[in-house]
Amino acid sequence: MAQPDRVEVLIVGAGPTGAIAASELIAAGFSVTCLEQGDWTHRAAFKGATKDWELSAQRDWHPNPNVRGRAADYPIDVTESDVNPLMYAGVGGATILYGAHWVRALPSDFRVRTLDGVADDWPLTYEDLQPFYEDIDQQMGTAGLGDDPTYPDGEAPPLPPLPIGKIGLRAAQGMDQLGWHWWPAPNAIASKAYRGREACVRRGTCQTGCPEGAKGSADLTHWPEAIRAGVRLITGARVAEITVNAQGLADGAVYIDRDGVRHHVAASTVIVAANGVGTPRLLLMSGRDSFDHGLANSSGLVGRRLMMHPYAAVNGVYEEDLESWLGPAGQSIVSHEFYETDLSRGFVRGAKWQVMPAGGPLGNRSGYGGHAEHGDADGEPDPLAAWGPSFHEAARRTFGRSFEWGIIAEDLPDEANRVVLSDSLVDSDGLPAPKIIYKTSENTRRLLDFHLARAREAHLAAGAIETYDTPLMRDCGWHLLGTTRMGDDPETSVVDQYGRSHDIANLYIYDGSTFVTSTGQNPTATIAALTLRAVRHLIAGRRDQEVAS
Amino acid sequence: MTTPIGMSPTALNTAQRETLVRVLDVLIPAAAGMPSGAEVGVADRWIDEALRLRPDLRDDLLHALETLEPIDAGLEDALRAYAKQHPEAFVAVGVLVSGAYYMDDRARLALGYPGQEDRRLVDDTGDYLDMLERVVERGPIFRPTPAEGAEA
Ligand SMILES: Cc1cc2nc3c(=O)[nH]c(=O)nc-3n(C[C@H](O)[C@H](O)[C@H](O)COP(=O)(O)OP(=O)(O)OC[C@H]3O[C@@H](n4cnc5c(N)ncnc54)[C@H](O)[C@@H]3O)c2cc1C
Ligand code: SF4
Repeated sequence: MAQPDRVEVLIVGAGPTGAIAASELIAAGFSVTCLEQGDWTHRAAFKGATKDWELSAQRDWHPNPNVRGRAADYPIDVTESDVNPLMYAGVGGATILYGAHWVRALPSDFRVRTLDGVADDWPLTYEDLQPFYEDIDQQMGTAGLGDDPTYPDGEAPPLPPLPIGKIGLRAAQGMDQLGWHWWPAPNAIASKAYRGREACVRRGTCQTGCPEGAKGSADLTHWPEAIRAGVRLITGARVAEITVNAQGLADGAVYIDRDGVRHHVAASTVIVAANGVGTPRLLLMSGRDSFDHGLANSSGLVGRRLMMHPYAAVNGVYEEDLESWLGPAGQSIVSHEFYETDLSRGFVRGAKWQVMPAGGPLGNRSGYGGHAEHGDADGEPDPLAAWGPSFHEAARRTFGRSFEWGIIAEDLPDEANRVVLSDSLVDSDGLPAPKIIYKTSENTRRLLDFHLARAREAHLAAGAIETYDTPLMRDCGWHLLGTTRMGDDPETSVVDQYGRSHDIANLYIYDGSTFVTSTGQNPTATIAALTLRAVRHLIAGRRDQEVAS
Repeated sequence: MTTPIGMSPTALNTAQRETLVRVLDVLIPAAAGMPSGAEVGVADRWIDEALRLRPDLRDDLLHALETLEPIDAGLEDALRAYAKQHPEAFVAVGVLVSGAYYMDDRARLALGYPGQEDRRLVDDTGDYLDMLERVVERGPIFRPTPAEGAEA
């Protein structure tokens, strides 16, 4: 039966993965519709250039949807999680708020089982992904310096590096003293005007939205062109269910519009790009009548193996004025000195470090939960200790004179860490909210202790007069990974290396859910490269693709 | 607590503002070359702005002000006791008054904070290339992809 309303490819989620997929598919001649629960975020809405920036960062632009509490966000039940997942609902997804740290995984990340005897190998290698990393660098307009000895040889980023600033220089001097690796950080931030984006002006408010349009968020890098080319992007469209026909193929999705009306979009192929929490949530919500455990879940792994990169940091305070409110934020310099496994440290795997500015007088992370207490550890701390004359003295001592060495710890997959559907919490459309069950492991705790100690040394070598640890930040789930892992074996994985569901031949997953291990890197460069590789494979195999009709 | 007609829902009444001034004298006095919170208008201008941005903290602030209003002498001790009894509300008060304080230009100027200003990008690679050369000279630090079939 002819179905004029049927779209060839339906994408759920307009974050970077949805955007990259849509761009490639429309260029290859497919008809494409994308459903996004959020809306466009206009540049003028960002507070970076106004005085209310710091206070609004603590609520209206907070990365935790439970704090922000907008109707487009779904709430998340975190009562059984050590870490809060962070995200943003809207065109561009979490790249609206991301720091644009644009780093690749390393060759060892794809061979964790072979090299370290833990977790699993990926069904692909760094070399398989490298051309896509390089291509995506061009698309995002990455700024950085080539020849970092952390990586195999390859093309340099297309734009020159951003300034590392006084904080980066100080930190680098410390690393130089210690003989430790460091490198000017790669960021998906325009250091020169690039493909319609302005050059960065160092406002430093990247993680509450870039008011200059310099940061490579997907609403700027991909969506305008994809829409011009013919992609239909429907905002305010929350997908409640992916539908499956009698042949067991995905044949579209049901979404709820802002007036609460349900619609069905018929599609030949469906791509889910809703992130490591939103994707398993949607699969678990779908097909509940026909399948016991949600869609594409014969392995039982949908929602399991959640990894979120426990984050710790050491702040160093320096005597000199480092102008440490200046951006980008963004990262200034990075280090991979302790990235690879060294068993003598008492744990496996490692972490990437980055230097970041400290923000305004309230502090870069002032609105984030889970701070280290600066009280008196022995007696009962005086609640007024930080007030009175001390309030000013502390500001004088630290403001502009401190910066953070941040530690992105690799957490290993554990089936007990997972996303399930909450049985009590619902979103503004009455759909079940995701519930997170996530505990950090002994390996992670040892890893963090070791790295915190080294980061303190790095600050001291750079001349810090004081250091403060943040051992594990609760609001640190920026990276949502692993909940529909890829693999060759349908019994132990949900999708193949191209994101195709083992169970449903025309259902694809393109976001960080497919990660086999978390790597110790900010993941979006890898998520984006995997998406590009997967969608190009889908396009190349279009004649053989089984589709719903 | 209800808001009288015609008043912004975030505005405080006179008694509340007066109590806030006394609280500010404890929390943000003039010191270290910085102006006091009361002096830069936290209690009469910036607190409204802070409450507009953080309406979620309004109840906590009002609770604190109501509790502290009858206290004449020894406000510092009363505030300390309040903070121990109601730590969350005290944190909320702290967020509001510090956020309000640093919105004022006098406070910013005294601290040397120009705000999240824009600056032209400068190329500072020349400042660090010699150090970076030493990183390169130490050679690659990654473990290459092992040959197919290799074991841990
Ligand atoms: C504050 C912050 C800072 C970060 N910093 C960095 C960084 O510096 N470097 C880095 O590499 N990564 C960073 N990240 C992570 C990065 O933003 C994500 O990895 C990236 O955005 C993932 O892209 P995605 O397209 O897979 O998912 P998302 O960007 O999360 O997009 C998914 C989209 O799907 C939509 N959606 C979900 N469910 C539904 C549904 N049922 N119906 C309709 N729409 C739906 C969502 O609204 C969302 O817009 C950061 C994240 C945050 C929150
Ligand atoms: S520092 Fe640059 S990228 Fe970040 S918000 Fe400012 S202009 Fe945008």
